[in-house]
Amino acid sequence: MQNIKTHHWCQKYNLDYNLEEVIAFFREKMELTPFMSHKDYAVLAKKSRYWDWLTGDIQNPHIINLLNHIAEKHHLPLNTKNTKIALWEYGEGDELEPHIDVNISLSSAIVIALVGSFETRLFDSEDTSKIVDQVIYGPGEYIILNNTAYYHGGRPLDGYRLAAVAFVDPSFDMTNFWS
Amino acid sequence: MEVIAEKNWMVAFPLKVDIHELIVWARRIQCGSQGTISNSPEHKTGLWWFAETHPLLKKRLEEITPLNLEWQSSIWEWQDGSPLLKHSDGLGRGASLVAVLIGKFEIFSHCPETGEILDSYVYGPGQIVALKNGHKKPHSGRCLQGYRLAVCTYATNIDDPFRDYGRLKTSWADCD
Repeated sequence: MQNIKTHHWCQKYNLDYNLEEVIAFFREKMELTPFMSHKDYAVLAKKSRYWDWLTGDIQNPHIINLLNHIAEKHHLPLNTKNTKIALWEYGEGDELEPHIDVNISLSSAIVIALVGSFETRLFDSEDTSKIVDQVIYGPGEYIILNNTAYYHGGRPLDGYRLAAVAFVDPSFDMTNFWS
Repeated sequence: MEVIAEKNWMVAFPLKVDIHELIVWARRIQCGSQGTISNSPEHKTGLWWFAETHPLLKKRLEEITPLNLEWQSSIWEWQDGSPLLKHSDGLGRGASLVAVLIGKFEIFSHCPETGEILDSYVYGPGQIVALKNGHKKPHSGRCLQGYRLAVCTYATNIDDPFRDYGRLKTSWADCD
């Protein structure tokens, strides 16, 4: 069994930012843009939907300000020509199976809870049926996830969940951040 | 009674319910079935779902007024942010108690005779808004953030405290 300290795989923070405008913008965007589902991306559960955009294609000032707010707080590049932002929606009964995000990003992910609480789990890399650690967070909170190094997964706690995921610029070395 | 704003044609009450819980509730219902496209003259592209009123919301609304228990709540979504066209409310259900979950909205009060806009009020998440004599006073509105999700629950239409055929309260701020 691995013995990994929580701050090495996932760090949770309070979000001092009003999300009203952010949620309104993203809900409109969700209904106007094609999404990925289980058939496009195996890690998505049956009722889950996923959207992603280059950060530069999101012109909404509330989103950019939110990214800048988090970027400045942690000294992370979240709004460059290489960064992406995604929305991830979970439906009733959906769970996120253990995985590592090698295909999405080469760096780390900031997961911002918009609607509903979520339990993010760390799995033993040698036996992904074993949960090693977990972090619970909801609206008003976000996590920074070492998603390219550790097997992680999770489940929505309220039967529905919407989160924004901002990816750190893949060229940025996160070694010091996670040490 | 605690109010956020009150005019001679509307009153806004604080929601006093965890809005995140209501958004989760609404989204679960939305994801569980397809919405019905609005067929009403006041809005052409809205989607709605009937739902048993969330117990916390019901409790809060009943602190304001008895409800019309013959009607469930309607969850309204305006995905395209299109306007609410000028209309007056029907008499069948009692006044609408609108709790906005996502998206700010500006509601306009019109002169019944000329249609001229007389006044407006902007509200958003965290407020419950009801119109006074909305069955007589035409009103319209517009989404200010391109999207709106709201829950509409109906006051009793027997002794409706928002209408003059009932027991209209002209000032909610001054009553218990």
